[in-house]
Formats: sequence, structure tokens, C-alpha cells
Amino acid sequence: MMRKFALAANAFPTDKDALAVDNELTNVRQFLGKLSPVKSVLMMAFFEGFIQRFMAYLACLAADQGSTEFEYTDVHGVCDIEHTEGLYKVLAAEIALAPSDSDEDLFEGVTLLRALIEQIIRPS
Amino acid sequence: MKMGEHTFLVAAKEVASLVTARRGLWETPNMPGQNGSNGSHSLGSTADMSYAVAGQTHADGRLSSPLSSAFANPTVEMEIATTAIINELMDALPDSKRLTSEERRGIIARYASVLEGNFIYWMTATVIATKA
Repeated sequence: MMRKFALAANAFPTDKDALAVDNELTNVRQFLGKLSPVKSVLMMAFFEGFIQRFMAYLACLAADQGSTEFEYTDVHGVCDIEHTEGLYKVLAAEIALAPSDSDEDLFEGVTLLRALIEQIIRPS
Repeated sequence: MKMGEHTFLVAAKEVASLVTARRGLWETPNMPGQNGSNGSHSLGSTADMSYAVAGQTHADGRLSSPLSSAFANPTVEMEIATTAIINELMDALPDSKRLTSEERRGIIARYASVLEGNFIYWMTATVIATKA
């Protein structure tokens, strides 16, 4: 669905697009490689929540590009609500299983992913 | 209305809805704060900034909002903080109509580049990491 969406908007990624987000993407990948349960689930809950809200904007960008292909944005705007809810339930369960140290930055993944999202929107 | 005030009002509405939606989660046994730990967590600099606008905080981190009981649960606390960050990101999005075609194409392409090659890998890594 996403590939169809990007192609229809004449926005299929190039090597330049991939390289523009490479540093921030690498940071997120390395963070997830640590396999920290609470931090990882929190990051994905944040991401699902963001995507759910971002879909309308993404569809608007595509429409302004002349696209009429919106299956991807239509589907994800709806189903990510349930995904986000599910991830917060998992987060509660993970916290109950393994309470974190009070000085631990549980938002480490969220912060890294936010930087990646900002780089997607406004590449430096 | 200043941006901070707007964010506060939005956050207050979200707290109210979360109070209703998450009531069951507060009763989850062995949550931090209910088993001897203080239930406090460092939210990180980005989250702290967003979290601060969700209510007035005392020096010890307690919220003075009448809805402060909602924050006793760390999951609710985190959801409110992440929602505030999402709000900040959404508020900062450039107007599509004011972007050039190449700028619009770039946002879609970079988003697709990240999602297509990574999303399933990220979810899989998260599933592997979880213990519940």
C-alpha cells in the first residue's frame, strides 16, 4: 500500500532521500538493538500515535501532488488507533513486570524517533 | 492565545479523556508506586519540556491540577507526555499549499524510505524485547 501511495504521488524514494535521514535512522536502529522492553514499546506507541495523526497531512501532500491513491492513508488513519491502544496496554504490562530506575530516561527512543521525524519533515 | 496555553488546553482535554479511558489500568497490580517504588521516571529532556505544559508542577514534580491523580500511573503519565510531543510535531508541520512540489515529494519519499525498510523490523525488535 505504501509503495503504491508513494508511486502515485511521484515520490518513490531515491538514494538521496534515504541518505537524508541516514544518521537519525541509524540512531533509532541502534537504540532498538538494545532490546529495552519499556523504552521500545513506548517508542512504538509514540510512533503509532504519530502516524495516526500524520496520515491526514500525508494524504494532503499527496493530493497536492496530484495523486488520487489514498488506500494507505485511509487504512492507517483508522487502524493505528487500535494499534496505539494495544501498545499502551503492553507498556503498562512491561512496567509492571520491570519497574525502571527513577533516573532512567524512558523516552530515549521517543527522543531519537522525534529527531528522525523532524529530519523527514525538514532535512538539515 | 499563546502556544503554551493552547497546548495546555489540549493536554487538559486529553487528560480528561484518558482519566475515563484508562481507569482500568490504574488498578493494574504491582504498578510502580504501588509496590514500594516511587513510580517516578525521568522522561528525558524532550518529554520533560512537553510534560511541563500539561499542568503546573511543584518542585517535587507533583502536579497541582485537580486531575493530578491521573498522573499517579506512569503509563498515563507517559501517554500524556507522548501526546504532547505529537501535538508539537503536528503543530510544526509546514502548510502543504506553501511547499513546492519537490518539497512535498521529499517528505513523502523520506517517510516512505524510513517506513518501508524499517517498520516491520522495528516492531519485530520490540516484540523480541518484550517480556509480557
